[in-house]
Amino acid sequence: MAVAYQHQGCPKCGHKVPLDLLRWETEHRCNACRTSFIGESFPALMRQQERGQRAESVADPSEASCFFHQGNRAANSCSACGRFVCALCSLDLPTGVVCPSCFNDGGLAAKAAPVLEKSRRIWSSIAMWVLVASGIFFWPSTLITAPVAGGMALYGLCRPGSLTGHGRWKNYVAFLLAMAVTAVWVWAIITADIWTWLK
Amino acid sequence: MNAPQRYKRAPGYGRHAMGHVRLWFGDSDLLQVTAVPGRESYERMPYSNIQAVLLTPTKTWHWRLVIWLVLCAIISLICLANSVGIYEMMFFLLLPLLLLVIELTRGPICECYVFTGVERYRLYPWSRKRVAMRGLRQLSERVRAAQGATVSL
Repeated sequence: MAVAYQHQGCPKCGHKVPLDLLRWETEHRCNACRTSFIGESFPALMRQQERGQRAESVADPSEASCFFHQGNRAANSCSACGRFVCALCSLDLPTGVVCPSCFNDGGLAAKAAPVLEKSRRIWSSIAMWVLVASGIFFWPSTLITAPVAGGMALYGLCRPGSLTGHGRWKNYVAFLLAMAVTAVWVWAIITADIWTWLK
Repeated sequence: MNAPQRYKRAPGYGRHAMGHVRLWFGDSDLLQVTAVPGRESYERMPYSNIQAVLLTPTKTWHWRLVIWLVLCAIISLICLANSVGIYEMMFFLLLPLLLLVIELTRGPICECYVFTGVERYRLYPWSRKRVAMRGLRQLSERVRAAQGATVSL
C-alpha cells in the first residue's frame, strides 16, 4: 500500500508543510522561512492511494496484445483511437478507457473525455478583439474586419463556447457591434460621404 | 456520455497581463479559468481529491498602504511649503487618497492554495483575505460534502 501524500511544500520556500495540522483558528509557521498560514485539511489527505493494475503477459500468440507493450495481453481498447491497450496502459476515465497517447494529446482526449479538456477557443473574444484592435489601430480596415468579426461571432454560436456554459451573450454583442459597424460602412458608401472622409 | 457540469461563479477576480482568472464551482470540481484573448485555459480540482486548502497572508498590502500614505504626506508637505491653496492641494491629493481608500476597502492581500494528491494549485482570484475566506468557506462545504466529515487529529 502506498502512503498518503501528507506533506507538501511551503508555497514560499518549498519546505515540507504538515498539512494535517492546518486549522482556521490556529496560525502555523513554516519551520524554514517562518511564513504563517492557516487552512483546513480534508479526509482525502488520509486516504490510501490506489495502486495501478499489473498487466498480464500474452500466453498465446493469437491473443491481442497491447499497442504499446507487445508482450502484454490487451485488456481494453482506447475509446478515442481504438488501439488495444494492456491493463497498465488503460486509463479509466468517467467517459471510457483512453490510451496514454490520446491522454497526452489534448484534442483526442477531450473528444473521448471532456473532463480532460484543457482549453477552448472563444470565438466571441476573437471577434471582439479583431473589431476593436482594427478600429483603434487603423479604422478604415473595419470595412473588412467588421463583417469578418460578425462571421466569427456567428460561427462561435455554432461551436461549444466556454466550458462554464456562460458567456454566450458575448457572441450576440460581438455580432451586433460588427453589424452596426458594417451598417455604418454601407450607409457611408451608399451616400458616398466616405470618399470625402478619406480625402 | 456524462451530462455537462453546471458551474456557478465563485467570488473573486484575478488579473494578469493579457486577461483575467476566475473560479467556478462545479458539481464535482472547482474550475479555475484563465482567459486570454481568444482562448480559455482550464484547471480542474475535483472536490474528492482536494487534500487541504491553505491561506497565507502577505506583506504586499502593508507596503502598498505605506507607499500611498508616504505619497500623500510628500504632496501635502510640498503644497504647504509652497503655500498652495486648499482646493489645489485637494486636487493633487485626490489620486493617492483615492488609491489609499480603495486599498483599505479591498482589505489585506493573501495567497490561496489548494493541495490535491499530486499537485498544488494557486487560486489567483482569491488574493484578498475577505474574498478568499468567503470563497474557501463555500469550497470547504463542497469538499466536505464530497468526502465526508473533516479530519480531526
